[in-house]
Amino acid sequence: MSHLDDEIHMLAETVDRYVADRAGGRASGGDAWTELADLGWLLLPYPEAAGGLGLGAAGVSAVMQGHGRGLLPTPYLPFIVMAGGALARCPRAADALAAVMAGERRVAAGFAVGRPAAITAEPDGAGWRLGGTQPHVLAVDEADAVLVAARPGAEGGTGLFLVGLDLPGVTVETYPLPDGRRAGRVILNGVALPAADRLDDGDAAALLGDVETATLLAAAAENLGAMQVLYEETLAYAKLRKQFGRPIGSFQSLQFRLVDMWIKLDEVRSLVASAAAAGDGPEAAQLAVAAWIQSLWSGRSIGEEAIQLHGAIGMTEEHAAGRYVKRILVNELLFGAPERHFARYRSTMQG
Amino acid sequence: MTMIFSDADKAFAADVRDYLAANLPEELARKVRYNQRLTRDDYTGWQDVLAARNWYAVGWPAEAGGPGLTQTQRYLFERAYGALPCPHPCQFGIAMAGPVIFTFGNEEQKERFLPGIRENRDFWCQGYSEPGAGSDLAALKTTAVREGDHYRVNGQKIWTTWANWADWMFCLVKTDLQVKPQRGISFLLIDMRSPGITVRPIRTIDGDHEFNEVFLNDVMVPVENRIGEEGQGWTYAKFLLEFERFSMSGAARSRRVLSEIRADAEALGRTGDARLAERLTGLEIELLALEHMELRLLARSVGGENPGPEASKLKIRGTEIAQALSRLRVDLHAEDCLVHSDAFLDALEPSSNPAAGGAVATYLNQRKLTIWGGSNEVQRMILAKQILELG
Repeated sequence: MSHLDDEIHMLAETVDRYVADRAGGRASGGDAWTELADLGWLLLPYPEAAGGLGLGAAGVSAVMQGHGRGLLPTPYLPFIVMAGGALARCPRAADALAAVMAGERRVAAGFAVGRPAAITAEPDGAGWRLGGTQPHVLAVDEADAVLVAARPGAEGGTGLFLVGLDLPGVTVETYPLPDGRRAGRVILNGVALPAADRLDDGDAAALLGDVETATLLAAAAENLGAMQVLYEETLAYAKLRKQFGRPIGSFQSLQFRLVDMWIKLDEVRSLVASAAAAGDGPEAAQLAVAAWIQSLWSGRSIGEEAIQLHGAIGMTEEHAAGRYVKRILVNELLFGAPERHFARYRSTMQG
Repeated sequence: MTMIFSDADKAFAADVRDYLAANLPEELARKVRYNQRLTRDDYTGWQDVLAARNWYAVGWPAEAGGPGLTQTQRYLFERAYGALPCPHPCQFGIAMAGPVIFTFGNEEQKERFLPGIRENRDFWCQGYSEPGAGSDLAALKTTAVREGDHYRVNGQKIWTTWANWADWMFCLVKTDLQVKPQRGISFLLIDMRSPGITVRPIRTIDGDHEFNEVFLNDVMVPVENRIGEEGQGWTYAKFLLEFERFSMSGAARSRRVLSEIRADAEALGRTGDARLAERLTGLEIELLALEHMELRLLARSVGGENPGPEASKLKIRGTEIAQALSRLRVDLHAEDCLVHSDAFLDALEPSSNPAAGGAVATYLNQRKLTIWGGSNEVQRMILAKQILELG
């Protein structure tokens, strides 16, 4: 085992413990984000040169699987993988990244996977003036700033701007998502920014593409954690629940369906594991996109089967199945259905 | 396979369509179209509209005070009904309690209960499932012990749709613990205002409340509220499985939903989306197959044949298609579905895309279709045993 494998293994154990503590109601009661900072999770994906732990996609995957298993509400994906991931790829964002890693700044992600920038930036003296509405910004109500992708005036391309949510002209309207997480519309109405708050190096399109790939893998890992629970709960229920005088898991037709759930789960696990281990290699992007697509195919099927095999109890708010199904579904709505990523997948195979 | 409908049947279908279209309130149609939550008043108000033409108890024979429609008219009624955004009427009185009462009840019971059901004065719920007895009704545990001219009922029912709104519950209870389970079950009508009844809500994953638990604690039920013979409840419950077979497919409703999704796609400027077009076309062909399975079954029934348990195939395919449509709607509206609030079913948040508002909740809610009314697994078991004769 390599040194990195050791570290990931230890991290996975810590994540398991953290999730188990949360599930058992033994959480500290303190601020969850501070807990994540204390655990070192806020800096684990970033390069050691930037002050991070250098665990990359493998580290993110372990933390995100825990988010899926425990349905953790902490905005690790938007703050650390998306916004932080973009900051880590911007040469002029070292200070902002340091503040994110320390847990001092909470930066939401003002860009969507697979969608062109919704914000426009016009040159204004030495600085910029931003306008437009960015929909569905995850956990923006927990953030103090948002990193927005914007189309800068006539020059084309995409710029990245760090916008404090307390600036004049910034309005945030928040709402609950169908799975209980929160998001918001960030409305920018002529928000004035100094030139220094544009963080990219001329065009952020390529780095945002990399961030999107990392986001898809992280979301796939979260889906994996969620569907692992759905599968385990359904298997346990099939062994326990009796109808017609025997456990329903003894019926062959249900056995076949449970085996199919197990296979679909393993398909996602295999792709997520390989994508996480691929680092920056040539196959990494291809595997990450494939992991995301497979996580939706498997997730839909496992989720629907989990509810069906539980029967009416699986339809209830009290039962966990629905909450896991909703987490996977909302991830799909946020980051895009399989068909929307086919072209991206094909593009990873060229060159 | 094409049905040729007579001129009289066509005129009947036109009458149904015109009456429903003229009397469906705009606000109610909008609620149904956009999958908003309906209140008890929404249902009963609409059912009054139906009852005014004696079309609430639309499947009842004339002897029971119903319209006495032929099977063809019954089919045409469903087709006209499903084509409009009408609320799905509450079924437990008209499709379940009523038919058992007019088939197996005595004259006194018919006079006492049927008008209230037919005229939409009494709201009914169904007390079948129990925590240990869902698909397997033989495992019922709720007991009814005879004490003079009453039964003392103790036990618990679950998944009782609209018990919170109901005036009456028809209920399967064990009156004999010694004999084979199927022989010791009786069919009781229980006044929901009886002392000893507690109704506890069960919230579902779509945030709605239609299911309940019903606890029965020393509930005294007069013996005259027992339908038919003591110990024959199983027979009556099985009889119901084959009643109203033509409302099982939901094909007309699915066809309406399909056209709504098409209209939504057009409004969103997605008509050029080849993948979406393929899915819509595919689902339309599946739906067409369902409609023609149903028509063929209808033709055989009109020809005097009793297709019996074969109608289970309509439930299986009808519910699968309805679920696929609810999924397609989510896929179409994609991230627009994210703007969701707990109150969205009652009052849509101002949105440029109202059809997206209830899409996720409907997708989640429709998971019930393959679970209730005899789960699709149970329907397949029925077909395997009784039609394919696989032991």
